[in-house]
Amino acid sequence: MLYYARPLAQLLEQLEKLPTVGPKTAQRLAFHILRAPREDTEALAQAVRDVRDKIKPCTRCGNFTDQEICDICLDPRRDTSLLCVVGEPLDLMQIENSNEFRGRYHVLGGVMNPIEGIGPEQLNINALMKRLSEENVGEVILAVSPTVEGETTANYLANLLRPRGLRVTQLARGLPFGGDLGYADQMTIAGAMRGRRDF
Amino acid sequence: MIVSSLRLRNFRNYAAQEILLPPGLVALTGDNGQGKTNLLEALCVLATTKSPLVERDRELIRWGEAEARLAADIELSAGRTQLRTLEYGWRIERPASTERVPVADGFADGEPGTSLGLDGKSSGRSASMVREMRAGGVPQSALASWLGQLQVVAFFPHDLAIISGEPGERRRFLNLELGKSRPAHFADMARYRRALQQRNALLKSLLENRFRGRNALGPAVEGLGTLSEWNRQLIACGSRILAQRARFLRELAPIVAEVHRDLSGRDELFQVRYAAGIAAGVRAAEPPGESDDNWSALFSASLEANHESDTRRGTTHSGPHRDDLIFRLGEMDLRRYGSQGQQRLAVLALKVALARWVADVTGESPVLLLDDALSELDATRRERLLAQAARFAQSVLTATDLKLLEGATPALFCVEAGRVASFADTAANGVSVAGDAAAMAEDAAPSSVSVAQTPAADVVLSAKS
Repeated sequence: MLYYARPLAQLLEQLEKLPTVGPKTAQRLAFHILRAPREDTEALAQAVRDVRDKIKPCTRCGNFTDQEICDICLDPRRDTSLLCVVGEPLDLMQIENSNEFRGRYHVLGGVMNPIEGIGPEQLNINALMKRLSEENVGEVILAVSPTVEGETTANYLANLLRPRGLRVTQLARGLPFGGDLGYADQMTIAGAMRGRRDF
Repeated sequence: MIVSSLRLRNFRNYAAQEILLPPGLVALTGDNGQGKTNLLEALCVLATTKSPLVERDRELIRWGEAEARLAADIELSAGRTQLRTLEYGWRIERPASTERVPVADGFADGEPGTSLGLDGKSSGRSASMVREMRAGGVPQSALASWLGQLQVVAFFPHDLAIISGEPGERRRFLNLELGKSRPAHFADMARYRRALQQRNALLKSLLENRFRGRNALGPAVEGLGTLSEWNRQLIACGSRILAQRARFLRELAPIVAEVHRDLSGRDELFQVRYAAGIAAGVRAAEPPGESDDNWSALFSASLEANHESDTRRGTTHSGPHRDDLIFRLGEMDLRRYGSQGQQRLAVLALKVALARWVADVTGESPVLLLDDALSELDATRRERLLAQAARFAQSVLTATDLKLLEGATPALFCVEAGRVASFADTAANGVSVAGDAAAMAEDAAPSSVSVAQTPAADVVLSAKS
């Protein structure tokens, strides 16, 4: 059995808590940090501290920001009639990086998941309803992942939103863009077949 | 389709073996514990990446080795692509490694919905197993596209549990057999299982809230609102499963009855009936029809009918996870009152019928595998089963005694201590061979196997090491 000096062991323990990091990777990272120049390690420690201290959810949409209201919400060029509802800030970044959507967002902070004790009350839904009353939104795009939990959340939201006379849409699913039918797996094809639409 | 060549490396008790198999009836003979069943198992593993006999893939690797490989050349029937090589290998990684090959499938490691049955058993796969699938030399990642390239229908003696065992055995049978010809079924199953887990978790938390006195108007009411959303998910996935299974049974039942009548030689009606996991009252009021819509209406009505008991007990009482099959011979419930022999014949009829159904659905005869199917049947029924088996492009069966093969002219292989040897010109003489069989079995000592023998029949064998 091999023992690490206590500070090193503590670092390893912390690193192993990170997602996708196993014992081997933690070891590699720890030894890298150990050998890195002092400025780098200081910067890393400072960045970790800052991200905890300074980043908070945007009071309007729930996206991560270091201000009261995030840049996207403040951006005057955004189409305020379009509101895209996502599960996590990461999903927002993905859509944002596509440069396709110029409306605004609302981040739920997760999806309904009774196994983990997450119901609608734990999600950022009240704020969404409040926004819809205050802002002039014409269409809500439900862009949650099409998992069992995501779809249930989308259905739940759609039921809440429909009485408001809004247009409620959902991201399309089916064949990946630029994909060859011959390479799509059968489950995707079956889904695309069920979700086919008029030409 | 037929398997024209099967190659094994470090699989069970085989170190390295290649067997060239002819079309038609193939018989593997030899004493107990020599490796006959292992060859059938190898074909199953190659077809589905799962052994029908053990949960842990590790057990399939030859003792002391870390890696096993299987490969087969598949020939489709005339008019379709003629030859394709399938290779499947798996190896144990050092336990420390966290890497693993993602297999985008219904069986992926440790994921929910891993189980082939709706009964919550996991596949028992460890994270340190690395797998590789290749078809025609091209790496494959999706099980959905792997399944079907080699279609097998197998009977193993433990399949008796399909009739005599618990309902979970019958659901496992339904899932696996449906999924093999319609892989999207596995995706439906995984989603259904997930929705079911979530719904049950919600029911349980509602129950706990009520016990804690935080009942009535608080979060519980909110929770009931979301319950209907989970119901919708459950119904969306579940009704597709119900409809698929109902259709499968509707198509299978007449074939099963016909095969059974032929095997038994009696004019008794053998019926397989689908008992969907739908509340009895609902089922009686509205007999299920054909379409998915019909099944979602039924499932929905059933959830409503069971709402009270579901919320009171914190679990879901209707749905495909409560499905069962009913087997009747005449008026008799085979599960409860059938003799061992009757149950065995019924399972054999079920498997042969299944193979015919696969042939109908896919347009390609599957390879029928029969493990020790003959030993408990009387002479007439043995002959009839062999005649049924001979109708497929290729059937591989095991037998401890050549006498069991009377009346048929299979290509014979002798299996001894993890080596396979072919009998020279066996089939030509049919039954008369039985006499010399014992002598030949003794001749086929391991040392003689390394030489490729080319007897009169088109049976070739070689063993590499």
